[in-house]
Amino acid sequence: MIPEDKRVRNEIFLKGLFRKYYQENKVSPPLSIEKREFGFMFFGSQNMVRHLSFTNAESLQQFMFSRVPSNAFYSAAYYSKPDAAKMDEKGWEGCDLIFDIDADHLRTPCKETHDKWVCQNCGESGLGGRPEKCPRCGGQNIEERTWLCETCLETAKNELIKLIEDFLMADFGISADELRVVFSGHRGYHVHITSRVLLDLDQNARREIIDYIKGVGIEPYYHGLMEVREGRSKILKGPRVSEEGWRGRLARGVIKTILSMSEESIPQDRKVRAALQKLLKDRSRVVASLGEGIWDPVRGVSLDAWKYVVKTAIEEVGGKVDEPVTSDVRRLIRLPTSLHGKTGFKVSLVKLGEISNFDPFRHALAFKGEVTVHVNEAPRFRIGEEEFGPFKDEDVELPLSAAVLLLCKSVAYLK
Amino acid sequence: MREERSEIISRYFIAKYPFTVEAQAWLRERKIDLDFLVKEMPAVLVRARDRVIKALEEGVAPSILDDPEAEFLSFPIARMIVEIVGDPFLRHRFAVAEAKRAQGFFKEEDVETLTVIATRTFGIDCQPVKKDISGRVYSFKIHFADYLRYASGFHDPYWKLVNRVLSKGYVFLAKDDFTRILAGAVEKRLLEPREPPLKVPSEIKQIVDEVVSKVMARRERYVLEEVEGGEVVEEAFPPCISALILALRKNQPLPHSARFTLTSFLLSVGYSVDRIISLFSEIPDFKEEITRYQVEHIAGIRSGTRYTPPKCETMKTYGLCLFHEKCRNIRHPLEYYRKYKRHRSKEAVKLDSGGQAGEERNIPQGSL
Ligand code: SF4
Ligand SMILES: [Zn+2]
Ligand SMILES: [Zn+2]
Repeated sequence: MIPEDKRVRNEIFLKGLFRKYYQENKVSPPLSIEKREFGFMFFGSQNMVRHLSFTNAESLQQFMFSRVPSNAFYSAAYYSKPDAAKMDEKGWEGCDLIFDIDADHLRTPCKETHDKWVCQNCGESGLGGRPEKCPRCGGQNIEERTWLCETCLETAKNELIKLIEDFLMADFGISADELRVVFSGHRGYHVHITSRVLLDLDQNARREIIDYIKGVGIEPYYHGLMEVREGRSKILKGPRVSEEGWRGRLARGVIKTILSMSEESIPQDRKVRAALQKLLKDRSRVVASLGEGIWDPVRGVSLDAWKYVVKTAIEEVGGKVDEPVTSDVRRLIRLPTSLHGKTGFKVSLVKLGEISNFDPFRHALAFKGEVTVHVNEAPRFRIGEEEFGPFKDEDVELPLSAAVLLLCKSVAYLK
Repeated sequence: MREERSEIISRYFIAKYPFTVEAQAWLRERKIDLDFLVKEMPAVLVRARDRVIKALEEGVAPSILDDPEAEFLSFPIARMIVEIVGDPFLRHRFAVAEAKRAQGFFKEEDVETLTVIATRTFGIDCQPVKKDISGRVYSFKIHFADYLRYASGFHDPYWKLVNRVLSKGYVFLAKDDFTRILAGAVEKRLLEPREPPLKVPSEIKQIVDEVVSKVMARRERYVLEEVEGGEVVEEAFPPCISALILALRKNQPLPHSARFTLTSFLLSVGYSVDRIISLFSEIPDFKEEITRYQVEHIAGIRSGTRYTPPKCETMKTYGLCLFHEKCRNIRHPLEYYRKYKRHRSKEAVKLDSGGQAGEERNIPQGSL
């Protein structure tokens, strides 16, 4: 923990840097800025100040520069009175469609090495995601210390590309100029869609979109997976790989799943297990046949076994988006081109064609210069070309962006 | 001759689809005066009355195309009556009945006509297509946003977007499914309240009065239908239900299963929708609109099927059962209620002997 006086010094230092950033950089205002609610957090406080509004980009810039918030948000929704204190007085007029992909919700094995939790009650700590209860004292007040990790961000990026190409563009027909991709400044990406025809969709409709992307509630039957009688025998019919929407996706996912399945990973359930073993033994023939749309080249594989494969396939090819961000039509989201108070990174707009080359540890950096800090503890990380750490109780001279990251994460203090 | 023919077609069109922009334009052009209509076209009034009352009492709208003009004109009058009465329940019954009536006609219609109605009247982005996917024929594609606008309220998994063929922004639909969406659009349009006129001819007022009294009677019957009858005896509530009420009063959020159980139970024993809403209004995340929607849904006001509370076995799997001595041989919370209510009215059993009223417990967390 950083002692109080050092923490205050850190905050003053960071605030100065943030101010300089807002002096030199214009924040990019959201579409119809006058209809948006804004919310901010400030250095030294955990509270969010909400219900603010700006009539134009200049007054927003003026605010950023004079008040220097540590985090800046705006409403995905449009309101006739965005500054009304009560939600039902704001006059909701519509809401952008937002998607959130966050490493917090992705299963990455590296989290076990770089994320940490600390029980605020007894001080017990451990690696990986936060347990529901402290294993020692049973307390529930557990602080999470997540780390910005390249593998996690790379995984999030792959999910982002899947979301945009496979779902938003291919299935939902969203065109390139309708979407804006944003690096959140921390562990993920946001996609903003401002198409007029989608603005008035209600929560239920947005939830349906999320369910579609995640594959929640799929009944393979409706996509053509069914047993049909042919003469005296039953055969299993299913969708083909080349078909549109979830039909083809399901077929492709099943092939992928069968190809990657191993003896050890199949479930214990006796009936399912025996059937899957049969499938695996004949793997290449099964895959070839699926490509042709014939789902039961191997006899004796029950519908139950197929359902298991299908379920695994849906996990594999479904999108990994965070539901509440999309379905909540009154939510505040991070303001692109502002700074993220937990990292000091720029909440960056990423051009569609540049997603695969986008490197948060290079392109989202906001500061130049060097400074010496005392680091309590930090895992290894990269800034630009250079790798740093791991550090343990030591003074180090670091590039400013690296130092700011550690200060924002509260694992270091200014010398 | 050709003129004549197209005139007849369009007269039938507006008789069948009086809610369309074409029908409204026709009405505007004719500049039909309300007083004239009331005095000179009594058949229209009779049909208008029929339309409203049949909708209210039977959930259907008559469709007699012998006199297309009177058939058509009865619609704006019927709608006016519904608006003057101003009762949401009536408006809902009317909208549903008219949507059903329209759907009946839609099914017989060709793809082009349906497309015209969908695009011009409802602004739905759709096109006729000829597509065959694994043997199933799809005749329409509709933009997913429009699909969701209407289908996200249908609860069957069949209608979930994820179970549809979606490609390049459009959902493919078979004709039957498309007519269902279109009927949904009709219903939604008719559910939007409109300003009733300031001056109403006395002939229409008469009908309004009749409808008002029928609505009242219908509502009362509705609340008491299948209901235990007589006053509600809260002391006879089973322990599971008492605990839920107590949890509500203590501002504990209840999971969906618990809210459903409580609502369906209270409706069954004769609580009114409003009384239940006011009970729920005590919880922190209360939203009247949503709660009303859900309670009315469970009450069957929207669909016609009222839900009953789950049986004890199901309650156990929900983790909501609080088995008590007195629950022995009981298989359903309502059975418990009936048994102990009877006992009380016969004064045969002293109820204060059991500790059944509202034991404290933790309700599993979650939200609706
Ligand atoms: S046994 Fe039935 S009535 Fe009794 S508490 Fe359980 S669910 Fe309620
Ligand atoms: Zn502890
Ligand atoms: Zn990681």
